[in-house]
Amino acid sequence: MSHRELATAGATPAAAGTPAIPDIETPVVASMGLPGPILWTLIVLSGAAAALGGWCWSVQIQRGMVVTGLQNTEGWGVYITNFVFWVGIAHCGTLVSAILFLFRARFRTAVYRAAEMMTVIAVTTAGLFPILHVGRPWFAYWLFPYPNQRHLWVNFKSPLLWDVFAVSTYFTVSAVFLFVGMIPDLAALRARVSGWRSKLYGLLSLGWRNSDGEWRSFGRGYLFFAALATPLVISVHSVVSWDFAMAILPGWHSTLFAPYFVAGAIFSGVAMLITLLIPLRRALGLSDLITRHHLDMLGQLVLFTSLIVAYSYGTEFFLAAFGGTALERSTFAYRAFGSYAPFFWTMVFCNCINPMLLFFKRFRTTTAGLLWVCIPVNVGMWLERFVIIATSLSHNQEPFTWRIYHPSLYEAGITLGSFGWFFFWYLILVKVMPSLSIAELKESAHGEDEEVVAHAA
Amino acid sequence: MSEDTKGLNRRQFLTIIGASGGAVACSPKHGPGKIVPLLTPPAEGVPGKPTFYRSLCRECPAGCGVTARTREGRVVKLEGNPEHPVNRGALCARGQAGLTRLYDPRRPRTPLRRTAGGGHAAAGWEQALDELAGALRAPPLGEVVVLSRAESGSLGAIQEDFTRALGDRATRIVYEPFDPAALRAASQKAFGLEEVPVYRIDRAAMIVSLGADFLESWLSPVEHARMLSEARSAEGGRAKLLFLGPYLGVTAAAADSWIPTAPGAEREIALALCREIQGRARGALPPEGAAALGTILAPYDPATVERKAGLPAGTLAGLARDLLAAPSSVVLPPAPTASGTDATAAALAVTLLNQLLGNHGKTVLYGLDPGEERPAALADLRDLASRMAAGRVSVLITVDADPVATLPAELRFAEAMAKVPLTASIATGRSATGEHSTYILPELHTLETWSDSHVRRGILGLGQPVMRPIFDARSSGDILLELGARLGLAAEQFPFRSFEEFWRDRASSYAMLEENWTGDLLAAVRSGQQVGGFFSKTPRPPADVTWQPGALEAFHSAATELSGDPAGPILALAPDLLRYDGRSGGLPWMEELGDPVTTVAWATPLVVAPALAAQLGVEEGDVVRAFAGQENAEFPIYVWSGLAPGVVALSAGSSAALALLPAKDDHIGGGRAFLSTRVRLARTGKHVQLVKYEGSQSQQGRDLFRTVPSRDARLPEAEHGRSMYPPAKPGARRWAMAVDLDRCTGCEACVAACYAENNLPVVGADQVSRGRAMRWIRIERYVDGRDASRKASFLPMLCQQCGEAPCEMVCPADATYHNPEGLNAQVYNRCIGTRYCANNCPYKVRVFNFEDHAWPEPEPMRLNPDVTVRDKGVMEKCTFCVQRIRLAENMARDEGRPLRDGDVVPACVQTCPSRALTFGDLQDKGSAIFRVSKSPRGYHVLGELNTQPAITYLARVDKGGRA
Repeated sequence: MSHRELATAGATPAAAGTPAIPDIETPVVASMGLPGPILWTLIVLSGAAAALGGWCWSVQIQRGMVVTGLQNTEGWGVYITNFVFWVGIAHCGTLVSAILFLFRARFRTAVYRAAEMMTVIAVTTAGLFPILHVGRPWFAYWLFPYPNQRHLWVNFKSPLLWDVFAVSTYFTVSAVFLFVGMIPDLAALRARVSGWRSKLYGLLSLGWRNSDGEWRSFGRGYLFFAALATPLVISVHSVVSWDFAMAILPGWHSTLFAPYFVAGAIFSGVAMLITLLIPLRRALGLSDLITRHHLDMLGQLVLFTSLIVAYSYGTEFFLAAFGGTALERSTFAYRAFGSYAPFFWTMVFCNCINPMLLFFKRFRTTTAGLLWVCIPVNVGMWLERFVIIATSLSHNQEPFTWRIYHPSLYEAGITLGSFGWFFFWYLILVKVMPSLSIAELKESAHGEDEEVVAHAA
Repeated sequence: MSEDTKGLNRRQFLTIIGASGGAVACSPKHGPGKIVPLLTPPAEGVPGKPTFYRSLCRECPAGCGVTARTREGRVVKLEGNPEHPVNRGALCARGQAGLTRLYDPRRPRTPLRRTAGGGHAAAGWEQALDELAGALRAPPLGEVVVLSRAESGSLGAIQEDFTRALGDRATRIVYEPFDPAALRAASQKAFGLEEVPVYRIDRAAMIVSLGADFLESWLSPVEHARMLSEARSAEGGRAKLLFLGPYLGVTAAAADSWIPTAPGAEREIALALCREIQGRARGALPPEGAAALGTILAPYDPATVERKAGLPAGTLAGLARDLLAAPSSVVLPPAPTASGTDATAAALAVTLLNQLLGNHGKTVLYGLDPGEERPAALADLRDLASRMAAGRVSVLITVDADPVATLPAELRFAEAMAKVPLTASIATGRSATGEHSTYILPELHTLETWSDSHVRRGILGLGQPVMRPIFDARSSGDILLELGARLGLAAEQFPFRSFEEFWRDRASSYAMLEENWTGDLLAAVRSGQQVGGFFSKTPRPPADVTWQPGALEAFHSAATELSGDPAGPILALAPDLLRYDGRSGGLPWMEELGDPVTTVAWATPLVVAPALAAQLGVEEGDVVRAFAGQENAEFPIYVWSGLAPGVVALSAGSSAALALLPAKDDHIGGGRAFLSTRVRLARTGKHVQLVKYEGSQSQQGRDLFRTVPSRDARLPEAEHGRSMYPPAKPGARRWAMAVDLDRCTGCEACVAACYAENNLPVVGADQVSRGRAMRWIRIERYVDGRDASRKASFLPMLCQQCGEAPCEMVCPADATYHNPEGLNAQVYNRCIGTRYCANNCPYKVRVFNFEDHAWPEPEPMRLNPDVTVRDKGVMEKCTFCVQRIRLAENMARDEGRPLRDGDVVPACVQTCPSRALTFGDLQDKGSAIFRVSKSPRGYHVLGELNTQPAITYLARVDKGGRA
């Protein structure tokens, strides 16, 4: 149905079913024009936030981790929360572009490019945090195993090292995936723009000439890419979850963590995508291309993952109560009723209760309804990671060392900076690169949405 | 080279080089001084090798001996002198902090004279001594007072000589705030001997402490700790210790049970116990006879005592029964800080109890007190203050005494000092008295000068300088000699050129007279210096004592009178293990360590019981104002359940507390009555964040601190699943430690030793309150049980050097790894600071350098050169003192022998006064650690995690257990 809606909602009056090819390129090109005053303000604000984060970090490097709220009892806090949060956000792109591609979910066509862009920027943001949080960031490169004059090697048993590989692999694959998918679009846009853009698109389109052979190779390659990227969606966040699950800390040490984190990541990623798309489609004038139908489908995805996440929360408590040791039980009692209980219950509301509204179609199809659910989900998913980290460390095995962690203003500054960093690059990217897949939309508009797959086959 | 070549030719080049080289060689100015190390170093100084000197600890009057470890000419650590009979190698936290007093950045570096503005400015020694001598000579000749702490040796003697030489107008007042005057007065009454007895706790099977904090500050805590350990591991059976008093402190926690009693009720309890046992007395009755005694004891029936002291009649009867049943026993009288105006009567009551129990000559020994110093009564100080205020004193010289900080505020000593034309404070560090003095004369630290301490008969400790003075300071003896020379006293009274000569003269006469040394007396002194003193091989026999008639009349004296608001709680002093009477307060380690009981650091809060806190509507950290008579002061609240009803407690090491208490004295003995007032507490509405270490007071039922009902009871093995991994291959060694919780008293000496040995930085109040203290060993204090059966437990926690260490696998940089000797080694250079290891450590013993730590001058001089000073961003932890392991290995290799059991002693193990720690190689089947680790009481903390720790804890013996 999507192509029909798309066609009827097109800017140019045209008979139903008639292909209206310029209707796709024009708005996409228009969306890449000079930013308006609001967007400029947003870019400047987010750039300023990123700069503030950078300044906070410079102070932290100079004075040491003393500027944070971290302590001997709680070695991790907001930074690791942010890391997991941004990796989670990064999940959406690959899910939408790869998994939904393989599942032939048509609605992905309109949103996957924006999602992939979000992925690449989010994983870049996430990648900052492991460096930000270490005590001696100037030696962070020691985490990479390469033959070196130090005659030292890394410890492959450490989940943190797995993180290094998981995140860098994910970044590489998602960036290449994004880039490869853009090649036909860049070639198409090359002629429609002038100046540096023309040169840039020309360069990046790698000499694409729109030949049938190229399309065949492209389609096949894209399919393989999707097949390759799919396991990554599962593996990256599984590995991230092992940072916790491999530790023996009560509340962390659980086999549930990998699936639970993957579902949570998709949950938070899709919610973030919706949060971004709704204002973007308005700001960039893409409401005709990213329709309510698409949002509805994304909303259903949020609802589905919310149910998984809620189930996981329940399972965690069940495991602690039923099978766990006294240490586990104590930690989970603390999580729900201790010093961090307000955060925990806010999280439960945001991630489990509020998303149930999406059972109503009205909430899924109105932007206000979706934002009402998705913005709290972003908050709730951030809190989820914070609660897992803070409560378990705070309430560790040695009661004498129990302490409460209060993040400092520097940590808040760096967190804000990470959002600034993310939005700054994201806003620039959607202005510089086509945030919708022109080629796929055209195929959809032709009613030939299976074409890419057909080429591949 | 052609003629027209531009620039230099070879000849010109050589000319210039020659000329400039010659000019440099003939340069009239010297370059920087000595930049090469000594080509011929002193015979003892081998760079990189420690040299040990014996000296004395002067941090409290107990008179322990120390071994000072010096490296490249400066002392880096203090350890107990193993040959000194008092402390036998152990040293308490306070004693070790003597080192930080030496290197205290706040130490005055030259004489300071008060300026018009009220501050102090540098002055030369000549000026200071000239002015002081001038004031001593100047008419009108007013009184001269030398106020000194107790110095049972040459320093006291030279002060005596000095005041004697000045004639009648000069007096010497010995001021010890916590002087056990009541004990002397009681023994004078009972036996006609004015002396402090020696309590042989080690010989008793039943020890009852009536308010004597003998493990904290009373008489000789290090010695007592060892004796208690010995009594508890005696062959014949484990000694039982009961503590009766209002405050659950370190000594009460060490007891098998703490019986909360009303403050000041010790006299009544002792007399009630006398009444219970008088018919079955083992010792001789006082000459007045049984009937007279019975009349005197009649009012102390169990019901009355229960009402007054809060001691249940049943408990009293049981106590009497146990005391009689025990093959040997000792009852300890209340400490000065716990005594009121009936202090002597209370001490005498305990003396009577010990007499009836037949303990004199067995566990309570007389005739050993050398009695060299007689500290002044409070009345003498009150009198001094009024004479000073009246302008009759022209010169006041205080030597290592801080009356301003320790005397009651109502004596207005500081104001009185202002009326004295010239006041001079001779002290190593800064003090409140110094701030009010005209001159602050920097005194050499004990480790920089000569000293001696006649602890008891047969024990003369000798102190010697172990390094060159770091500041322009002088020995107090030399200062007095200089003054004497200026006043023209020298010839007759002081036939000595220096204090060293004076000291040597006294030491050699001691050797001759007491040790019957014949021949070369200088050699005798030298050998004494090497050992750390003259310790007679055969212990002096105790005196036989007989009870004098008339002593019992003392019991007619009234009970302790308490002033203040009758409805208010009684203010008791809680013994301060770290500050003593405040003299160690302000020393960085002593502030940072934190009180073992409250775990509060960098502050001395008012300790209140939960019920009272609820009644007042205050919580921890709320500031209250305490009113006692005319005085009042503000204190933050700490809520502690270990208090008898109607009592609040303040640290005895807090000068605010000592100032607040009214000036009352013991009616008979004349000592200060610290238990003297009730207080009215008023909320101020202010709140401070108390700096403390405890997280949860309760163990949360985790059984980290375990108990067994008897010494031989066996603990069940920890249940844990089988490891997924094959057992690790045994390495070259398996260094391991055992912690006997039945011996550990929580005194924190081990923590202080670790600070010294491993260059642990002091991070300050703010950082401690943020949970960033840099300690490799901590004492976890847990409280379990309810009300009267409340028990505090101390669990030393340090790196467990796990066989399957959770920290090791999670470090991405391999900065922590398992070495072949079973140690979890931490490589600072590799650490990038992910802190994952600390998160994954179940024992939470890893500490992170959140910042670069400050080492203000001259502190860097005391840093142990064998241990890296860590930078920010690096994780660190206990290494089992790997540098000491390596030193022992190298020494063994040099001597061509294998390493023997006992060669390696980590700093914490070395210093433990109660010998609770054992260290060694677990793979050596003949080692002590192998034997101790196999104890039936042995267990691993969190053993169910199967981390295979190298530290075995030996459960506390406690029939009642810990709930």
